[in-house]
Amino acid sequence: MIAFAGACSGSSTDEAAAPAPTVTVSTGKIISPASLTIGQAVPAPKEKPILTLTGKISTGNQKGALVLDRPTLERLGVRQVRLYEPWIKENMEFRGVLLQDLIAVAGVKSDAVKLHIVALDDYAVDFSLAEVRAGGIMVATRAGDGSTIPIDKGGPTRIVFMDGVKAGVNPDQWVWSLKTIDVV
Amino acid sequence: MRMFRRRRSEDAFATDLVPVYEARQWQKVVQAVLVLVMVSATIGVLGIVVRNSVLLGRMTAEVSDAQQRTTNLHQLQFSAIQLRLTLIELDAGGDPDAVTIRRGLLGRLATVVRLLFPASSSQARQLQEIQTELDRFPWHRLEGKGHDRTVALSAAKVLVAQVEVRVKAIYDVQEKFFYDATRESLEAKRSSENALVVLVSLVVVMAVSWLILLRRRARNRLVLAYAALLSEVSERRTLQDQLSHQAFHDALTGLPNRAMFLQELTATMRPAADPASGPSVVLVDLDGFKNVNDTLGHAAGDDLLRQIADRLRECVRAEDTVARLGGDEFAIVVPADTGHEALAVSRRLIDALMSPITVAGQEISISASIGIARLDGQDTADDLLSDADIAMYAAKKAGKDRYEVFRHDMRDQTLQRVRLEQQLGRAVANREIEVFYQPIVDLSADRVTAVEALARWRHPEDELVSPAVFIPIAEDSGLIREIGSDVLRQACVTVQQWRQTVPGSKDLSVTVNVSARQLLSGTFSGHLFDALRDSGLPPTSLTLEITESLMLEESDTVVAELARIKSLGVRLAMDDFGAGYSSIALLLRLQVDVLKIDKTFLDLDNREQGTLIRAVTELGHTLGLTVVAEGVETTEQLAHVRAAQCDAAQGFLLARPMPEAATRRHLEVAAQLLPAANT
Repeated sequence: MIAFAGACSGSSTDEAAAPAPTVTVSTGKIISPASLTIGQAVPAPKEKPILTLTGKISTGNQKGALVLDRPTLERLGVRQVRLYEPWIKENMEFRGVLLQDLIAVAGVKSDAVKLHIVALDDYAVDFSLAEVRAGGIMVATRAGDGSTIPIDKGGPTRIVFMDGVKAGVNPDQWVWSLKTIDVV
Repeated sequence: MRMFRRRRSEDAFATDLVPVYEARQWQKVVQAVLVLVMVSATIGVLGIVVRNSVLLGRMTAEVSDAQQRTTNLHQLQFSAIQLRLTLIELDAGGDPDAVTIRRGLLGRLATVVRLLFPASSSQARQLQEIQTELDRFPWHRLEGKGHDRTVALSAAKVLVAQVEVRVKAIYDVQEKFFYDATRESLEAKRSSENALVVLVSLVVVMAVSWLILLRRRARNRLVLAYAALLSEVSERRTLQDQLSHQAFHDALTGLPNRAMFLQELTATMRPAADPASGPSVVLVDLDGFKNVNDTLGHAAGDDLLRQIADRLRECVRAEDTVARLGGDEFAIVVPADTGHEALAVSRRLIDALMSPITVAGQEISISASIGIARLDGQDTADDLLSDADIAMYAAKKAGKDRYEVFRHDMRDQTLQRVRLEQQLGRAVANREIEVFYQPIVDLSADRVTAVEALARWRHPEDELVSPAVFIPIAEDSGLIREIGSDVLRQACVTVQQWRQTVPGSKDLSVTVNVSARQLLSGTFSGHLFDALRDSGLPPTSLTLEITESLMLEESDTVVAELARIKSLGVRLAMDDFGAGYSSIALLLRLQVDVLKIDKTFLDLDNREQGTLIRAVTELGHTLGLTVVAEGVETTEQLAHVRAAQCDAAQGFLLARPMPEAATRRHLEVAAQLLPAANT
């Protein structure tokens, strides 16, 4: 159990000054450690991209955007968590990377305030950066058994919230089949 | 003594005070009704509110669910449409991946929507079927070429179109349900609001009513406390007491009347926590008041009553209540009597009445007979008053101008008396009063020269009733007048008959008793005249016996009546002379002809007897009166009477009182014996 107190991995200085609300969440067991950290260049995708970050980021790999294939995304460090899936209405296991690690690697600019997340069907929700930095939000890339997630199960990537994370109370925030994350 | 005229300010709150007792009953009823209405209304309204809130809670959840389902069904439908569009695009050379994505999204959405419905529901089943059909479809054939791909594409379009229609059907049903649930929940909400409005209104109405009642009660409590503090006024006061003084007061004397007296008495009886200090009733009945009224007129009588009322007020203490019960009857409530207070009041009263009262320019003496009853187990004020009445009666019977304290044995006597009075009334009406005659023997001639007519009551059950019993009753009840005139008439007729028919009785005279009551009625001389005229008896052969007690009731009426009697030639005899106090002046003034020596003189021992009888006889003779000795029962007594030179004698020794027929025989026998005796 790790208590996340906000600015654990944030690059922005304003985060440290104003600690976000303390939440106690499970970040699960580490399946593979991070091999891609802050400040490192992110290689261009070799495989079929599964997620693209755009907007106010400083680390891009394709015309200012950060286009990620599965291996690159999973280099952020894969964890396995068990949580309650509000749509399927049962506890399920997922593997994936933490959203806060993703935006850290993407180098979110200091004037950014939120993430505008768009799904393959153009469904969109907004997460505030504070919410994201408070932790407990995962970009799931695989099911608990390690298999990739098909589109009709919400894949290839989807947002899941650890149990107890405030932002995840509303099931509408559980975006599946992510297409892009626009930092605004 | 309780003031019967209260101060104005006192009146003001006292009037206010009254509704406490008047209203207590209806207040309770109103309160009970209010509580009942309030409780039932609250239960009813709360029932509605609770039912509605439960309904509303369920509805809200249902509406929320329905909304979510509807939204997601709509998205599912849209997702199907997008898949169909993607298939059409693919037909026109689009990206097969796009179809995969749309198919995946549709599948994902179908799963999500299906899980929004209960697993057993028809929607879940239908959505499951849709999912299964989508899963079974050979989508990979879309990535093929030629005819096979064309056929697969056409089939996919048909499948997705069917999905679209089926989802639309589910959506329509769900949408209708959503609107119904929304409408129902809105109605439940409105119903709850209405019920709450009703409840709030009721509560407000109740609260206002309650406040009014509470205020009234609180105010009354305050008034009560204040009143009690001021003058120990308590619950006993009533609306009538305050509002209509006249209804509770005697207009003549200003004293509380009988009704108020009973109320006061009841009030003092109520909190008798300490039986040793319960209230007493002092009942005051004036002696001979009627004579005042008869002789001096009603105005004088009223004046006398007012003055008596004033004296009564002076005799009682502040806490006592004096009332006029009616006529010449007054009563005093002595609250918390420890056994001395009522007696003290009574003594003061008797003393106060000893000084003469000036009425209509005349000084008159009046006394009172007083009965005292202490609270001793009597249930009601009436009972207590009744006991005091009995004691008062006993005081009258014992000689008036005194007080008697109630004893339980008095009650039986009184009851008997009341019964006798009723029977006597009937007896008079039925002519059951018989005239007996007792011979009076002339001692110088040793022959019967007169008879005394005596009333006898031949009671149907008890045979003869003693005159000592029924004459006082007749005196008190006024029946004596009827009895007296009846006896007078009979005696005149009978004796005149004997004078005419019985040998040796042609000079027989008759003596008839006349009571003060008869003389005071003012009609006696008229009756007398009629009796003499109708019977033919010479007035000189009639002697009327009056008693010394008549002197106590001396009045102009009596004197005038006696003068008229004397003018007719009728003789007067003073009965029971020596029994009471004797006034020689009165004997002269009333022009008495005969003196009848009371039989108590004969009961004295021999030596005194002889001396006294002689003295009285000499006195009578000195005044020129005929002297008759009464109650001669022994030969020694007769010897004394003879020795004293009494003119005549009567008594059991000589002859008892006898019925008419027996007397006639007695006279006849005596007449036969007389010549022999004389020879």
